[in-house]
Amino acid sequence: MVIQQTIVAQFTAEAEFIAATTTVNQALWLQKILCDSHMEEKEATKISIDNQAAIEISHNPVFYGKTKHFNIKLYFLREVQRNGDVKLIYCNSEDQFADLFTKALPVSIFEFLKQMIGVCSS
Amino acid sequence: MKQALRAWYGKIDDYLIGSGFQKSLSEATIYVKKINNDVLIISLYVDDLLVTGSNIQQVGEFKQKMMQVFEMTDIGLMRFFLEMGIMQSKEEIFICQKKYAKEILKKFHIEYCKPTTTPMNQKDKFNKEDGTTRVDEEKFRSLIGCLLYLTATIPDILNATSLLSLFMHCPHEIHIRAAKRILRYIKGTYSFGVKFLKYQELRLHGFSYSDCGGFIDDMKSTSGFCFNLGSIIFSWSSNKQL
Repeated sequence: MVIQQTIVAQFTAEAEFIAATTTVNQALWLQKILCDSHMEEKEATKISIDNQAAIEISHNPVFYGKTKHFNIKLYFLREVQRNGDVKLIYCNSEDQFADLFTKALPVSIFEFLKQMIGVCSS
Repeated sequence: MKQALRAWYGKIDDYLIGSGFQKSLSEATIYVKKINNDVLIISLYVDDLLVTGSNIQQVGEFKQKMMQVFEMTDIGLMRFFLEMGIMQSKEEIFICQKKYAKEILKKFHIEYCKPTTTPMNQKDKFNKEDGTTRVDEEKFRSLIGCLLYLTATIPDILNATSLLSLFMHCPHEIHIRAAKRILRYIKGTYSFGVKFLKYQELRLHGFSYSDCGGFIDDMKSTSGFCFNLGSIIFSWSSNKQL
């Protein structure tokens, strides 16, 4: 994992940004394995995030007041997107499957997401 | 002998590379061989080999060769591997840990409890010192260890389990109660697993999400991600942001 430093996110986009970095690391590794098994990805791997601000920050290297304190290591997201390995895209919160892995959810949403990610009985 | 495993790995590694396989650099247990347009993939787990490929004939030939060179038996289609039951058919592959889940329920005496619909109560927030009494660490550790292994095929309990695993060194009454709730959830869903269907186009797609400031102790957040190829997820994680 790249993120080793103690980070307390100060606003939501930052937490998303850190999460996206972890995801991108995993994506790059999966790409390598797929490539080794001769199933190369032809296009950039899409990663869905439901936070527009995090995507904007990852695209635009402008020094926003709110991103002043960001850890420099996290700017790696810009680089991988420029190389065309990964692309961050926006998705609605309803289509965000990873929601299931971050917090306790009410029964209805929980059941829906469970079905969506493919957990079922035989 | 302690070195036996290493010696065995060296031997099989030499043999596979000698017969034209390429070792994957990012995952040392995967060997791939490309013959014309077909791919033969081998996954090595100590002395177990899982073979798959796009051409059944090649897979058969490889198995014959391996049986000649090493003392190996072909146990046919994979049905049971590392406590995971695998059901394969032409259209789908279903993986579950029904047997293991049942054993856990028995081990922690949850067989006759009422099942719950979710693994975690939405209102539950955990912190290190909450006033309730300390409980036996050993039992808690063993319980969390079992649950963590279950997340291999039951991703829905991943968040609750990894959250509780943060309190492995200081388990309190409230933590063990939450862990028992996960067990009760499993009671209702132990026959569930992940089902992989056949897809024409395989495209890697990731999902990333974070829960901002979910921890009371230090206001850190949780990162969660999952990846799918086609439409079913196959790689997932839930981590506290370090």
